Amino acid sequence: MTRTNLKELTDVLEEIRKTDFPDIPAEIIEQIVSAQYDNQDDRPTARIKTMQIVSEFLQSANTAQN
Amino acid sequence: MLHFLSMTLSNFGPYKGTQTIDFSNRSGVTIFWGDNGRGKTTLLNAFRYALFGTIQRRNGVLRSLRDMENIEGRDEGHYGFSVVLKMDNDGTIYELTRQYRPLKEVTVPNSDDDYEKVMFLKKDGSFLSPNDTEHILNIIMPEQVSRFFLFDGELLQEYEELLENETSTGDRIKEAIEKILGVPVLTNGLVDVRECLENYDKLKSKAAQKDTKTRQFGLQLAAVDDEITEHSKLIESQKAKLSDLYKEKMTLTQKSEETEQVRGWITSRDNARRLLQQRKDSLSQVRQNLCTITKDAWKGMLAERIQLVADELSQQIAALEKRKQNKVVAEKFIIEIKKACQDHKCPVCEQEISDEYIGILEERIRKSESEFSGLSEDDKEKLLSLQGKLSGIRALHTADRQREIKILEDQVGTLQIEIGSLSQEISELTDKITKYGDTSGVAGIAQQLAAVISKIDITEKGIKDEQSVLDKAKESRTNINNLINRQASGGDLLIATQQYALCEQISKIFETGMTKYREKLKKNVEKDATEIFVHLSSDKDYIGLQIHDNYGLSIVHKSGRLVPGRSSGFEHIVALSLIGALHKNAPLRGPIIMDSPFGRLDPTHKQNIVQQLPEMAEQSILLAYTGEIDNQLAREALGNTLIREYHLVRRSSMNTNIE
Amino acid sequence: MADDLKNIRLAANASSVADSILESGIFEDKIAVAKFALAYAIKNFFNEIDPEYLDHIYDSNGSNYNIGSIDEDQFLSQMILAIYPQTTTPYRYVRVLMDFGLDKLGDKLREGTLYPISKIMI
Repeated sequence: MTRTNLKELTDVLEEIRKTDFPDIPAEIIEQIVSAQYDNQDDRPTARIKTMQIVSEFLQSANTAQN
Repeated sequence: MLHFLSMTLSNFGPYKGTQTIDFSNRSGVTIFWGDNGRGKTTLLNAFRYALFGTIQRRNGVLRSLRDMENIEGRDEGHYGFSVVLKMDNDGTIYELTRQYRPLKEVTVPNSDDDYEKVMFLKKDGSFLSPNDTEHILNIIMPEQVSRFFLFDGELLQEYEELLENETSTGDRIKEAIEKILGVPVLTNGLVDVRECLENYDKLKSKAAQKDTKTRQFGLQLAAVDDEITEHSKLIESQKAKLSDLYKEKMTLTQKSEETEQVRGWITSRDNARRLLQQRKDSLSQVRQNLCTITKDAWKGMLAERIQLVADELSQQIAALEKRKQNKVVAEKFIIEIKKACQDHKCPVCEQEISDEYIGILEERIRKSESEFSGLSEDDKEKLLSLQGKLSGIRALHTADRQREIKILEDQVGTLQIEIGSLSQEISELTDKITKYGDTSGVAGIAQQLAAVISKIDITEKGIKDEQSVLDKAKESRTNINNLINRQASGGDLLIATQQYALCEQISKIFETGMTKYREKLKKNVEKDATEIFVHLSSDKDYIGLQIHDNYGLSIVHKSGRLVPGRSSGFEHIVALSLIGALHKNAPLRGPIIMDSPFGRLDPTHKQNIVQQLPEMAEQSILLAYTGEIDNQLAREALGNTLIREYHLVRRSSMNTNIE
Repeated sequence: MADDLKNIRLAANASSVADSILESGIFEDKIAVAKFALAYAIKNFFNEIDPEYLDHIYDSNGSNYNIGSIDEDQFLSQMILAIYPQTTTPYRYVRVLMDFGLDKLGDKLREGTLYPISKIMI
């Protein structure tokens, strides 16, 4: 779920993703952006959440392949 | 989007008792009119206090929060103050209360220590924990970006620093701008994703080592990774050192500028002292020369008198010598005449001489012998004596040294004047330097600065060289990786390789995104700021604004040239244009509260700003003094976007009512 | 006939004037000042000065100098004998002329017209 006020930012990332890296789902990028935005005042939490999102995605990507 | 609904002040500043301001939930402009000293800036501080717990004074930092207590209230026994701010953020209602109140056990507080600071936040009617409160406030209104919401027109010169590189204020503003625009979301996101990438890289490397086909490459990769880590660490530490050196350079540059004058004095004084010593040495030398010459110069003064005496003697000698000479001549003549008398014959014509004539001749002989008798013994002695005296006088050497003495005396005069001036100069400079205070270390600043600049150059070069080595190592890594990828055929290595590849893609999205977003933001900010600017500015020759890397804005003249330097009036307008543009482009949206945004603007520009207010933010709160703008024109310009007007009315010097 | 002086003792006033002039730093010592004063006296007041008369007027309460140290090259005595041929006691005349000259220089010092001394040498 994207915040409307982050639309500019997510639009830019989506453009790049769509064109150059379509293997990466849009939701992953949105989730990372939200994790960062919602925890601007708490870098450790933002970092952990981001790493979790990436890790879960890569695990599921691996499982899907298998 | 953040929207203020109401604010309740209790004994805050000049606001005695409890007073509530209703901002309404509509979009538009609220104006507060008040004369100087009625509490307009205090209202701005009320917002700041509620949101961040701080008060900002224009002339410095508040000594103690206690200074914000309403004095009349305190005299009546009402101690402390509070601000309650009710706001709507994307449909969620928050009520923020911040209090400064006496401790329970204190009846009459006397100092800051007798008070406690209390804050609580309600979200849709329910109290939040302190941690959640802090987190929410940091999200909806981070203090770092408050300058774009709580706008004090008096502090505009900070924005000029955006045009200058390497100023700490400029860096802070740039950071604040990027924060409000959401850039940290990308920069921090990239940092965190890259950390993931490193982890997956290590996993891949380990998998490669385990796999028999790729063991060798895996080991090579591990070795290169170690190298990369080492060089990266070195570069990081060098960059940290460089950052410290830049800070040091800035401090020294500032000190250098601050102390430029006193260093100039010190240098001038040292030069003057050196010169003074030289002059004194010269004076001493000249005086020595004078003394040497005056030892004998008195002789030259006697030359005239000595010459007179010499002339007198010469005359006397000449007279005596003439007499002597005459006798010699006469004697020869007498001998001839005597012979003629004897021979009775003229020795010239050989004629006979008569006896009568011989008698005459003998008479003549007797006369001559008497007349040309020559020098007596006394005369001869006298002549010798005179000649001796003259010789003695002529031996008296009397060189005229008057001109030499004059030259030296002139030199003494000049040197004494210079010495006097230099002494005076040294005294004045010493006075100034003493008044300045402690000058230890001042003189060395230039050398210190030069040393730091040199260190910066060396460090930068070191980083560049190290980066070069790092890049080669990374290249080598990529090559090994590619070999591993080609060899990876199954199992853990294949999984690890695939995971790494995906993670790398995520990283590249953020990396590219960061650059593109920044470019886009700058273009948008430039465009929006230009749009606002041309509406605010009455000068038709100024056609827009151009943005710099630091988000500084320069005015563009219709000729295409950038306008160098600008008046404080245009500084206002450019800053307002930037704020308006940031509000349009920021993920973080909220109200603008402006205290004295008009500065020294003329009525036309003031009118333009009022008209633009509804475009700049969804909610604008304007604090203006009566007469700063024409209230009638303001109402006409704003139309139905003007929600409400308040007047800050004086009840007494320590009591203002919001009506 | 009087015997000539073996030591020259300046008058008190003359000695004091010489001290003051010495402070200007232009002369090496007092005797250089005194010689300058003598020359000044001869140059400007030769016809007015009656050394025989003045010899009985000036006291000898000032600084004392041996003639050997004053007139090493005998210039002074030779010069005095040349310009005052009637005398056989040149050093008596030297003393008088020094005292006279210093008096006059003292006047100029008080008037403020003594310096620069190059001006009064003309």
